[in-house]
Formats: sequence, structure tokens, C-alpha cells
Amino acid sequence: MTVLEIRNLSVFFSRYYNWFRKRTEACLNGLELSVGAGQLVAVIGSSGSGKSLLAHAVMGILPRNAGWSGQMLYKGELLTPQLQQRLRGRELALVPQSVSYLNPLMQVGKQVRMSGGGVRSRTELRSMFRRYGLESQVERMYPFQLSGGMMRRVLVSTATLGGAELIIADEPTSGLHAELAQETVMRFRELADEGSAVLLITHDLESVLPYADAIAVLYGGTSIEVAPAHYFSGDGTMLRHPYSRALWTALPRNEFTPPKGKPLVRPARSAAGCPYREYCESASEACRSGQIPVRRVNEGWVRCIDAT
Amino acid sequence: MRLEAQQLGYRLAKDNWLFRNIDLTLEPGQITGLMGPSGAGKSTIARILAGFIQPAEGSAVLKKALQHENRERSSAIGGAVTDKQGWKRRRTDGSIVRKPGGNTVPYPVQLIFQHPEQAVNPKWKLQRIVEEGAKPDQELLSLLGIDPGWLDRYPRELSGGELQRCCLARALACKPSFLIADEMTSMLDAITQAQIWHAVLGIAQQQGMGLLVISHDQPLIRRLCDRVIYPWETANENKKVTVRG
Ligand code: SF4
Repeated sequence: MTVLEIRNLSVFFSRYYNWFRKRTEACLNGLELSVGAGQLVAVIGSSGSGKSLLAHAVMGILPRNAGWSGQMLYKGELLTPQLQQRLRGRELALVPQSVSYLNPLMQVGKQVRMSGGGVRSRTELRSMFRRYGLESQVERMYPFQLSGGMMRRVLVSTATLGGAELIIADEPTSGLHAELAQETVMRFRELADEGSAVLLITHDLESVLPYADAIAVLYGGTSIEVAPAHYFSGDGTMLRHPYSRALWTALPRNEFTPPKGKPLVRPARSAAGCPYREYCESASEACRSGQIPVRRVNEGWVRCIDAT
Repeated sequence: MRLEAQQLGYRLAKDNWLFRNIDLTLEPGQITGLMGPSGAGKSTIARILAGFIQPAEGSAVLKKALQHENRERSSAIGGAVTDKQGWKRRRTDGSIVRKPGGNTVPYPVQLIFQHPEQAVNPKWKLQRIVEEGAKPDQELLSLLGIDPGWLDRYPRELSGGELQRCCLARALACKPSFLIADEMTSMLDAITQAQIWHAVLGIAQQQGMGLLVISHDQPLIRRLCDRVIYPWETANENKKVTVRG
């Protein structure tokens, strides 16, 4: 069953310049994505690819000056602000990137029990903490008393206490050392195996690859390819998009070489055309304008004119 | 120039040692990986070597071989002897230090942090930030993939990867003898990581700069390093020897 389906999602910000001049900037542009029950989909993107905005859009917590268009469906139902509010913290859970989401003045046990509006029982909390290897005295601690790893586990338990059906984790492993990062990703795998749909947003392809069912690659604010995780193997020729292949080749365990040509820094900013066109070896005139169509291929899809 | 640290110790509180008896040596032109258990103080060692903080015991010195006299001259960096030698403590966001007499010079050991946004002054434009130690030449900027247009912006207007490139420009403009990369690319995507490392390795080779790489990423360490050191293991062995002796 498809739990979340995102169709043609764009997120834009309006900012005021000078006094009255308003400018709208698109930060996500025609993003497509879906995740089913029991599935772990990793969303891979570099900094500035708009990956946190994706999480915030689904949760309905975009900043005030942001607007969005497109469609988001939760179990086939249109995800409206009202529905988002009703589901948030219950069926819909976010593991935020920043620990600043925790209230520094409240004991963590209390915060976790109250997260998302509902209040959960002590016993529920205790068994959840035990599951994440947190001792019972952690419940009475304040956020500043926790180590980075404990804090991360508290955040994960906050999101999962209610038995959420859709879990979105935004860079859950950043700042964690290798073992703990792996342990964290494994927890998300477990949650998926228990039936949740999990979207794991990260810049670190290597850490999620062994546990993900599918990988969605984000570049320049749009999803450019969704592929089964096992496509990221060998010399990467199963991948269809030049950027996905470049990403795979650049891993230290593979070639560790950046794509040839000029250093890849910023995706092309305009809404029209392919965001990778400035760097792509196969770019043609057709890549400069219009929206690049999505093409379904076997088990995934790709957004590239040149893909076969 | 060789960097030698001997018997470094650092404590968090009176009897709470983060580590003791840490020895390490960095050779010019060599790429060394530093491995150790998490929470053992790898970043603290990086900060000591780069002169941001002082160890509670032990010392870190830069040794310069004097060819004619067949002797070595050392100048202390970081370390308890810092002030006697005249190096003043550095600011966390800068790359320069004050020598006695008040003139500033680039520090010979430069450190790149994991989070570039915490290593720059948010109120400065990038131009001022990258020129903090010395003015980077055009070649360096283009090697690092820095768009001249960024220099007119503030740190918050750049992405993490772009900002890290600028921090590298600031450090490398100082032509340091050693560069310490503390999880330098662990917040970045694989392509940016590969690009940045290729640029840095090229510059290191060209200038005979030594590198210390701290990373949790084993394949990365294996790719980059000429040798990998485990100072905590040696420290434990030392301890055993003293106990036995
Ligand atoms: S061929 Fe065109 S559409 Fe495909 S990645 Fe290259 S620039 Fe983009």
C-alpha cells in the first residue's frame, strides 16, 4: 500500500526586496516521490538540494513565507493542512535534524510522552526507551545533560512512540560516529519491517545503502531518479541519470573521482530545464528549457532526456 | 618541518582525563589518518595541534631541520610552552595569530572543521573571511571551485559545501606546513567530497604540506592516507609498560 505519494511538488519562498518588490524563489521544483508501507526510501541530496524542505512540506511545517503547489497524498487522501495537523505526531512523525527541536527546559521523558500533542503513558515510554538502550534515569534528564548519541536516540524515540505509519527522518545520522550512525539506520529499517513507511533524508549515500529499498536522488530541488538500492552497485551502469552515476563513482570505495569538466558546485537555478545541464556531458539544447519529462524504467524512473 | 607531539594529555576536570600519553608525529608531505574510539578526543587533539587550546600536559612542537648545523630547531605550537614562544591563543574563527610585538602571522598548522558555518564570522562577507590570514591567489580559488561572486556574500547565503571551500581557501592561503582535516567533508555529498579532496591533495603535493585526516569514514581514510595511526593504542601500551616497570 502506498502511504505517501508526492506529485509535482514545488515549494517557493516569497521575499521582499527594497520596500515593495516581492520576489518568489522556487526551492523545490516538480518533485515526485512515493513510499509504501514496510518500505524504507532514502532521499539523497547534497546541501542546498532542498531536502529538508521536503520533510517540512509533508509535515505541514513550512515557514510562513513559503508556499507550495502540487499534490501530496496520504494513503490516497489529499494531504490538506487540516489533515496534516490531525496526523502530525501520531500517524505522521518527523525526526528532526536539529536537536533544537527539544525544549531545553523540560525533562526529556516528559517531552517524549507529550510529543505530537497526545500524552503517552509512562510504561509505553519506558519500553520505548529500553528498546533504544536508554536507561530509565534519562527520562528525568534535561537535553543539555545528554550526549549527542543519546540525544539522537531520544529524538528517534520521540518520533516512533506513537506507532507512526509514516516516519520522515531528516539527516538522522549527521554528527554521529560510524557505529551509532549504522545503529540508527538499522532502527529505521526495523520500523519499516514492522510496517511503517520510512523516508530517510540524508547526504550520506553510503550509510543508508545497505538498508534502503529504494533511493531517490535529489538535485537542484527536484527528484532526478528513483532506483532500487541494488542499482547502486558495480560500476553503476544500472543507474540512468548522469548525476546519480557521478554520485556513485565519487564514493571513496569506488573511483573517488568527481565528474570531469568544471567543478560541480551549484545546480542551475532556473525552474526550466535540467538542473544538471551545466555539468552534464550529454547536455543538449533540449535540456535548457521546459520541464524534463519523467521516464519510467523497469523498477524506477528517471528525469533525463538522454536516458534510455 | 616535522610536527611532533609528545605525551599529550587533556583533562575535562581535575581528575577526569580525556586522554593522556598521546604521542604522534606528522611528516611533511605525508598524509596521516588518525583513528581512535569515538569520544576519545580526536577533535581535541586536532585543536591542540592547531593551537586553539592548550594541553594539560605534554607538548607539540614544529621541528625545522637546519641543514648546515645538522641540528634541529624547534618552535612550540599549542602546548604549555606557547606563551613563552610568543604565540598567542588563536580565535576560533580565524587563521592568524599574534606574534610578540603585535604583528599577525598565519599559523603554520591550519585546522578545517566539520561545520564550516561555526568557523566563520557570520557578520563578515566572504571576501574578508577568506583573506583573514593571507590573500588567496586566483589559482587557489579556482582550484577549490570558488565562484568569485560568492566573495561578495555573507556566510548564510552559501551552502555548506560552498562555505567549506571558502574555509579551505582561507587556510590554504596561509601556506601552512600542516593541514588538519577534522571530518572536513562528512557533511558533504560524495561528489563535493571527491572534488574538495582532489584539490587539497594536489595542493599538498605541490607545497609539500603534511595532512592529518580525522574521519569516521574508513573507505575515505583508506583512499587518502599514506599511513594510519592509532595513538590511543600506543598510549595504553605505554601505560602498561610503566605499570610493569
Ligand atoms: S542529458 Fe540533459 S536532461 Fe539528462 S542529465 Fe544531462 S542535461 Fe539533464
